[in-house]
Amino acid sequence: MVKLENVSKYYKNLKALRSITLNINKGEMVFLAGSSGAGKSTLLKLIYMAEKPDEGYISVAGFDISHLKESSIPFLRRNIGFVFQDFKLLSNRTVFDNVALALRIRGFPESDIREKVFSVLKMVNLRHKSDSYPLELSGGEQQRITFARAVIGEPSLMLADEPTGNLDIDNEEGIMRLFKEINAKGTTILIATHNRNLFLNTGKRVFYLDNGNIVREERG
Amino acid sequence: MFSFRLAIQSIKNEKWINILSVISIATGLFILFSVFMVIYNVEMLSKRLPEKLTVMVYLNDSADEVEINNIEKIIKSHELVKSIRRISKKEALNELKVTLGEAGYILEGIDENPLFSSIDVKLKEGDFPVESVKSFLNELKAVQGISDIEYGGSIMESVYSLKDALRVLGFTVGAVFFFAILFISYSTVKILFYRHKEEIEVFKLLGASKVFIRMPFLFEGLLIGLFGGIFAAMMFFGVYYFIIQRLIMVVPVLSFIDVPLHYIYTLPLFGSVLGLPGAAFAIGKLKY
Ligand SMILES: Nc1ncnc2c1ncn2[C@@H]1O[C@H](COP(=O)(O)OP(=O)(O)OP(=O)(O)O)[C@@H](O)[C@H]1O
Ligand SMILES: [Mg+2]
Repeated sequence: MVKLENVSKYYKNLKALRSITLNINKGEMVFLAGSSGAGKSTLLKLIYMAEKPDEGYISVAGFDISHLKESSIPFLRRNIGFVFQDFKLLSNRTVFDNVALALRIRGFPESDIREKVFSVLKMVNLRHKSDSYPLELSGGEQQRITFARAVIGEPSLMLADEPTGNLDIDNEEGIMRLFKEINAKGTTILIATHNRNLFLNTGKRVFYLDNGNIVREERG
Repeated sequence: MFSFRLAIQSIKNEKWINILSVISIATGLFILFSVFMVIYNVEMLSKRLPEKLTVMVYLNDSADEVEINNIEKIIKSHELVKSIRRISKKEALNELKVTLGEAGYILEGIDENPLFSSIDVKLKEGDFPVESVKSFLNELKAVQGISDIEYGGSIMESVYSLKDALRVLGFTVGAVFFFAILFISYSTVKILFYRHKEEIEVFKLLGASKVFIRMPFLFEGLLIGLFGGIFAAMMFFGVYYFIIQRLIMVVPVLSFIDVPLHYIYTLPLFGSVLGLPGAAFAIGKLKY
């Protein structure tokens, strides 16, 4: 599903990633661990093409993205769901519209949108908040909305960057349960975090990044 | 359509910026249109002027039939001349009698006809330089058998020079306001674009195409221009019905003023056409 071969990324003189090679299989749930500045976010950015690699080969969901045309980027991203630490919800839209946006961007007809939005909101237990605005919700609720927005397009890959960074332990467990739920349905998941709780005792593969290198691969 | 709804929503949310731009664009279009109207009227006036002004060519009493025929031929063959009419001494006197009417008694007791025979020359309708009329008249003066030429040349000259000045002024003002309107649309959309920066980032992340991101802003530019045009048209109708029409009633001389009202309907179109490229420039190149 995701394949990196000898990928390097430089910011001027700084080597953010050094010759990374890794392979994530379809349906896997994989963690990217490491301290601050290790290069976790940079690696995710390469995968969704917010940044271009300086060296190496990357393929995602069947796209060879080292040779992908700029105009294909939107279509790559429609195959990827995103969950970020800072949510990236639009504060001037209702919960409903925030989630519906992912479908409107894909050109779904309005008639299909209502039902789909309510069904994912039910999945994250926030059906009753559909008319609220994001800032009227708690951090955990906002993250579940972000999750709902990410899964509604039925992506084959989910990327999460510090998805529990702003959440307390209960909300952390809630969001991890959701990830496991969609992983069980076949979605490939890559989570970057420095929070060991997320992967301890999961049995999933964990890549440890340090200073732009993969220094270890373990089972959580 | 979703993009269109976004544009409407944005206009509602950023009411004041948008209202201000609509008013600015309307004012610009209004001035542009007024200048156009003035130029249009002066052009029309100057076109009809030579036709209205007739040239009277007075003939020498001594001129014989051969000479007069020759003069007629010369005049008729000139490119500026539409038609001529020969007025003999007798006809001139008859016309004068008709004109004088009851006061015709002053002519009683005059035995000899004191009037000249003349040729009444009508010029073609059209847009030709006043110099060509002048040189034509100078040519005529040199012809044997012509005693004098009467022509409302000074009126024509002043209208023509007014026309030239107005043309230059009109094009300058027109160009300035043309770019002003483009710029208003540009800066409005630019401001809105920056205000929506976060939103655009999210759109990109969720896989929105460039068209999808641009569309609401283009609609917004278009709508600002459209409403500006509609507003300008309304202002112009107002000015026409409440000021120009009343002015014409009070000062009938001004009745030559001709406002081609059907052109007003092009204002909204013109506004939209200007609003759209302004918005397009403002968005510029997008990068994912
Ligand atoms: N746009 C950029 N320009 C220059 N340097 C950058 C840029 N983005 C990241 N870096 C640098 O690259 C290195 C890796 O950054 P990255 O964001 O990938 O770390 P991270 O592992 O996600 O850290 P954190 O856990 O704090 O989020 C850091 O040293 C950072 O300063
Ligand atoms: Mg990071």
